[in-house]
Amino acid sequence: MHDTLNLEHIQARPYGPEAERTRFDPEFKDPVRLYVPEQRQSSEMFTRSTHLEVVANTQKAAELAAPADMFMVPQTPEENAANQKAYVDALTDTPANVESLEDRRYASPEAAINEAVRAGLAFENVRNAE
Amino acid sequence: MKKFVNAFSKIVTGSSTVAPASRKKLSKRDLIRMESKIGAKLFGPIAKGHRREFFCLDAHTWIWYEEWSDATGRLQSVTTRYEVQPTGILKVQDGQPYQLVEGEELQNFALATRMYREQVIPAVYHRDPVTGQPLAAGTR
Repeated sequence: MHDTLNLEHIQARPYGPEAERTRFDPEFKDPVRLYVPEQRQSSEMFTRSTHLEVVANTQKAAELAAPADMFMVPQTPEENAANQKAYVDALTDTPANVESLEDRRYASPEAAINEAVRAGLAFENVRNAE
Repeated sequence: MKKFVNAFSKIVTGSSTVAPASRKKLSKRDLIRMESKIGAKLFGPIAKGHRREFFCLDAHTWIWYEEWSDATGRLQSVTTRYEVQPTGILKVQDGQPYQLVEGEELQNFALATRMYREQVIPAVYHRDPVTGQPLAAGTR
Protein backbone atom coordinates (compact mmCIF):
# COMPACT_ATOMS: atom_id res chain seq x y z
CA MET A 1 0.00 0.00 0.00
CA HIS A 2 2.76 2.43 0.90
CA ASP A 3 4.67 1.64 -2.25
CA THR A 4 1.62 1.90 -4.44
CA LEU A 5 0.42 5.19 -3.04
CA ASN A 6 3.87 6.51 -2.24
CA LEU A 7 2.49 7.80 1.04
CA GLU A 8 5.81 8.74 2.54
CA HIS A 9 6.13 11.53 0.01
CA ILE A 10 2.75 13.06 0.71
CA GLN A 11 3.07 16.06 2.99
CA ALA A 12 0.47 17.51 5.29
CA ARG A 13 -1.65 20.03 3.53
CA PRO A 14 -2.46 23.42 4.99
CA TYR A 15 -5.41 23.60 7.25
CA GLY A 16 -7.86 25.48 5.11
CA PRO A 17 -8.74 28.87 3.78
CA GLU A 18 -7.67 30.59 6.96
CA ALA A 19 -4.20 29.15 6.87
CA GLU A 20 -3.02 32.43 5.42
CA ARG A 21 -4.22 34.33 8.46
CA THR A 22 -2.60 32.00 10.94
CA ARG A 23 0.75 32.35 9.27
CA PHE A 24 0.75 36.00 10.26
CA ASP A 25 -1.05 35.57 13.57
CA PRO A 26 0.62 32.74 15.48
CA GLU A 27 -1.58 33.37 18.51
CA PHE A 28 -4.69 32.58 16.53
CA LYS A 29 -5.47 29.01 17.48
CA ASP A 30 -8.95 27.81 16.81
CA PRO A 31 -8.96 24.48 15.01
CA VAL A 32 -12.71 24.40 14.58
CA ARG A 33 -12.73 27.80 12.92
CA LEU A 34 -9.70 26.78 10.95
CA TYR A 35 -11.19 23.59 9.61
CA VAL A 36 -14.82 24.54 9.31
CA PRO A 37 -15.11 27.82 7.48
CA GLU A 38 -18.61 29.19 7.17
CA GLN A 39 -20.26 28.93 3.77
CA ARG A 40 -17.96 26.18 2.59
CA GLN A 41 -18.49 22.53 2.01
CA SER A 42 -16.17 20.05 3.61
CA SER A 43 -15.11 18.81 0.18
CA GLU A 44 -13.24 22.07 -0.24
CA MET A 45 -11.08 21.48 2.79
CA PHE A 46 -7.39 20.86 2.47
CA THR A 47 -7.30 21.84 -1.17
CA ARG A 48 -5.49 25.16 -1.01
CA SER A 49 -2.02 23.85 -1.03
CA THR A 50 0.87 25.99 -2.08
CA HIS A 51 4.51 25.27 -1.96
CA LEU A 52 5.13 28.08 0.51
CA GLU A 53 2.49 26.83 2.90
CA VAL A 54 3.90 23.34 2.83
CA VAL A 55 7.32 24.74 3.60
CA ALA A 56 5.89 26.83 6.46
CA ASN A 57 4.14 23.82 7.91
CA THR A 58 7.27 21.72 7.64
CA GLN A 59 9.32 24.35 9.44
CA LYS A 60 6.69 24.66 12.14
CA ALA A 61 6.62 20.91 12.62
CA ALA A 62 10.35 20.81 13.05
CA GLU A 63 10.02 23.18 16.00
CA LEU A 64 7.48 21.10 17.81
CA ALA A 65 7.97 18.07 19.93
CA ALA A 66 5.06 16.22 18.43
CA PRO A 67 3.88 13.22 20.40
CA ALA A 68 4.11 10.19 18.18
CA ASP A 69 0.93 8.47 19.19
CA MET A 70 -1.84 10.68 20.42
CA PHE A 71 -4.08 7.82 21.30
CA MET A 72 -1.36 6.08 23.22
CA VAL A 73 -1.67 8.78 25.88
CA PRO A 74 -3.42 6.66 28.44
CA GLN A 75 -5.80 7.13 31.24
CA THR A 76 -5.46 4.93 34.25
CA PRO A 77 -7.89 2.01 34.42
CA GLU A 78 -9.63 3.80 37.27
CA GLU A 79 -10.08 6.97 35.19
CA ASN A 80 -11.34 4.91 32.28
CA ALA A 81 -13.87 3.19 34.45
CA ALA A 82 -15.01 6.45 36.05
CA ASN A 83 -15.41 8.19 32.69
CA GLN A 84 -17.23 5.24 31.25
CA LYS A 85 -19.62 5.10 34.17
CA ALA A 86 -20.27 8.85 34.15
CA TYR A 87 -21.38 9.05 30.57
CA VAL A 88 -23.30 5.80 30.65
CA ASP A 89 -25.11 6.99 33.75
CA ALA A 90 -25.99 10.23 32.03
CA LEU A 91 -27.19 8.68 28.81
CA THR A 92 -28.91 5.50 29.87
CA ASP A 93 -29.59 5.55 33.60
CA THR A 94 -28.69 1.87 33.51
CA PRO A 95 -24.98 1.55 34.21
CA ALA A 96 -25.15 -2.07 35.26
CA ASN A 97 -25.76 -3.54 31.83
CA VAL A 98 -22.95 -1.86 29.96
CA GLU A 99 -19.84 -3.63 28.83
CA SER A 100 -16.52 -2.42 30.18
CA LEU A 101 -13.96 -0.66 28.03
CA GLU A 102 -11.86 -3.81 28.07
CA ASP A 103 -14.78 -5.75 26.61
CA ARG A 104 -15.03 -3.25 23.81
CA ARG A 105 -11.72 -4.18 22.22
CA TYR A 106 -12.02 -5.00 18.55
CA ALA A 107 -11.34 -8.49 17.33
CA SER A 108 -9.44 -7.37 14.26
CA PRO A 109 -8.03 -4.23 12.63
CA GLU A 110 -10.88 -4.44 10.13
CA ALA A 111 -13.42 -4.32 12.93
CA ALA A 112 -11.74 -1.25 14.41
CA ILE A 113 -11.66 0.48 11.03
CA ASN A 114 -15.32 -0.33 10.48
CA GLU A 115 -16.17 1.26 13.82
CA ALA A 116 -14.50 4.51 12.76
CA VAL A 117 -16.21 4.37 9.36
CA ARG A 118 -19.59 3.88 11.03
CA ALA A 119 -19.00 6.79 13.41
CA GLY A 120 -18.06 9.15 10.58
CA LEU A 121 -21.09 8.19 8.54
CA ALA A 122 -23.33 8.59 11.58
CA PHE A 123 -22.19 12.20 11.94
CA GLU A 124 -22.64 12.91 8.28
CA ASN A 125 -26.20 11.66 8.59
CA VAL A 126 -27.16 13.55 11.74
CA ARG A 127 -25.64 16.80 10.47
CA ASN A 128 -27.47 16.46 7.18
CA ALA A 129 -30.66 15.86 9.11
CA GLU A 130 -30.28 19.14 11.03
CA MET B 1 -33.64 11.45 31.98
CA LYS B 2 -34.02 14.92 30.52
CA LYS B 3 -32.60 16.37 33.71
CA PHE B 4 -29.72 13.95 33.49
CA VAL B 5 -28.87 14.83 29.90
CA ASN B 6 -29.16 18.53 30.62
CA ALA B 7 -26.92 18.18 33.64
CA PHE B 8 -24.46 16.12 31.66
CA SER B 9 -24.48 18.60 28.80
CA LYS B 10 -23.95 21.44 31.23
CA ILE B 11 -20.95 19.69 32.71
CA VAL B 12 -19.26 18.98 29.40
CA THR B 13 -20.28 21.98 27.33
CA GLY B 14 -20.92 24.61 29.94
CA SER B 15 -24.52 25.03 28.85
CA SER B 16 -27.70 23.05 28.84
CA THR B 17 -28.74 21.07 25.80
CA VAL B 18 -29.94 23.26 23.00
CA ALA B 19 -33.67 23.38 22.37
CA PRO B 20 -34.62 22.11 18.90
CA ALA B 21 -35.98 25.49 17.82
CA SER B 22 -32.79 27.38 18.57
CA ARG B 23 -30.60 24.53 17.32
CA LYS B 24 -31.79 25.17 13.78
CA LYS B 25 -29.95 28.48 13.84
CA LEU B 26 -26.62 26.87 14.61
CA SER B 27 -24.08 26.61 11.83
CA LYS B 28 -22.02 23.54 11.18
CA ARG B 29 -19.14 25.30 12.89
CA ASP B 30 -21.23 25.92 16.00
CA LEU B 31 -22.31 22.30 16.12
CA ILE B 32 -18.77 21.02 15.74
CA ARG B 33 -17.61 23.37 18.47
CA MET B 34 -20.21 21.84 20.79
CA GLU B 35 -19.16 18.37 19.73
CA SER B 36 -15.52 19.15 20.37
CA LYS B 37 -16.18 20.19 23.95
CA ILE B 38 -17.47 16.70 24.59
CA GLY B 39 -14.80 15.06 22.44
CA ALA B 40 -12.01 16.77 24.35
CA LYS B 41 -13.14 15.12 27.56
CA LEU B 42 -13.17 11.57 26.24
CA PHE B 43 -9.58 10.98 27.17
CA GLY B 44 -9.64 11.93 30.81
CA PRO B 45 -8.51 15.08 32.57
CA ILE B 46 -6.74 17.69 30.48
CA ALA B 47 -3.42 18.75 31.95
CA LYS B 48 -3.33 22.19 33.51
CA GLY B 49 -2.41 24.80 30.94
CA HIS B 50 -3.37 22.54 28.04
CA ARG B 51 -6.25 22.98 25.67
CA ARG B 52 -7.59 20.09 23.66
CA GLU B 53 -10.05 19.72 20.81
CA PHE B 54 -11.23 16.44 19.35
CA PHE B 55 -13.94 16.35 16.74
CA CYS B 56 -15.29 14.65 13.65
CA LEU B 57 -14.79 17.05 10.76
CA ASP B 58 -16.65 15.06 8.14
CA ALA B 59 -17.47 11.45 7.36
CA HIS B 60 -13.83 10.60 6.77
CA THR B 61 -11.82 13.03 8.89
CA TRP B 62 -11.19 13.40 12.62
CA ILE B 63 -9.14 16.18 14.21
CA TRP B 64 -7.11 16.14 17.41
CA TYR B 65 -5.65 19.47 18.54
CA GLU B 66 -3.54 20.01 21.62
CA GLU B 67 -2.17 23.37 22.78
CA TRP B 68 0.06 24.25 25.70
CA SER B 69 2.73 26.68 26.83
CA ASP B 70 6.30 25.45 27.06
CA ALA B 71 8.78 26.27 29.81
CA THR B 72 9.51 29.65 28.25
CA GLY B 73 5.84 30.54 28.05
CA ARG B 74 5.75 30.12 24.31
CA LEU B 75 2.55 28.69 22.92
CA GLN B 76 2.96 25.26 21.34
CA SER B 77 0.40 23.20 19.50
CA VAL B 78 0.04 20.00 17.56
CA THR B 79 -2.75 19.21 15.15
CA THR B 80 -3.30 15.60 14.15
CA ARG B 81 -5.65 14.64 11.37
CA TYR B 82 -7.00 11.12 11.03
CA GLU B 83 -8.31 10.16 7.62
CA VAL B 84 -10.63 7.16 7.72
CA GLN B 85 -10.82 4.96 4.65
CA PRO B 86 -12.41 1.52 4.40
CA THR B 87 -8.97 0.01 3.87
CA GLY B 88 -7.18 1.78 6.71
CA ILE B 89 -6.77 4.90 8.82
CA LEU B 90 -4.08 7.41 8.00
CA LYS B 91 -2.63 9.87 10.49
CA VAL B 92 -0.93 13.10 9.50
CA GLN B 93 0.61 15.75 11.69
CA ASP B 94 1.82 19.16 10.65
CA GLY B 95 4.30 18.82 7.85
CA GLN B 96 4.94 15.14 8.36
CA PRO B 97 4.25 12.24 6.05
CA TYR B 98 1.17 10.13 6.45
CA GLN B 99 1.36 7.16 8.82
CA LEU B 100 -0.87 4.14 8.87
CA VAL B 101 -2.58 3.79 12.27
CA GLU B 102 -2.06 0.29 13.62
CA GLY B 103 -2.07 -1.82 16.76
CA GLU B 104 -3.03 -0.31 20.09
CA GLU B 105 -3.42 3.15 18.61
CA LEU B 106 -5.95 1.80 16.10
CA GLN B 107 -7.89 0.12 18.91
CA ASN B 108 -7.92 3.31 20.95
CA PHE B 109 -8.87 5.51 18.03
CA ALA B 110 -11.78 3.26 17.07
CA LEU B 111 -12.99 3.19 20.66
CA ALA B 112 -12.71 6.98 20.81
CA THR B 113 -14.90 7.36 17.72
CA ARG B 114 -17.46 5.04 19.27
CA MET B 115 -17.51 6.91 22.58
CA TYR B 116 -17.70 10.20 20.72
CA ARG B 117 -20.70 8.96 18.74
CA GLU B 118 -22.43 7.57 21.81
CA GLN B 119 -21.99 10.79 23.77
CA VAL B 120 -22.25 13.53 21.18
CA ILE B 121 -25.24 12.42 19.11
CA PRO B 122 -27.68 12.30 22.05
CA ALA B 123 -26.31 15.42 23.74
CA VAL B 124 -25.97 17.69 20.71
CA TYR B 125 -28.42 16.28 18.18
CA HIS B 126 -30.97 14.62 20.49
CA ARG B 127 -30.84 11.46 18.44
CA ASP B 128 -30.23 7.82 19.18
CA PRO B 129 -26.54 7.14 18.47
CA VAL B 130 -27.27 3.74 16.95
CA THR B 131 -30.37 4.34 14.86
CA GLY B 132 -30.01 8.07 14.28
CA GLN B 133 -33.68 8.51 15.06
CA PRO B 134 -34.81 11.48 17.17
CA LEU B 135 -35.02 10.70 20.85
CA ALA B 136 -38.46 10.69 22.34
CA ALA B 137 -39.23 13.94 24.14
CA GLY B 138 -39.26 12.21 27.50
CA THR B 139 -35.71 10.91 27.07
CA ARG B 140 -34.06 14.18 26.07
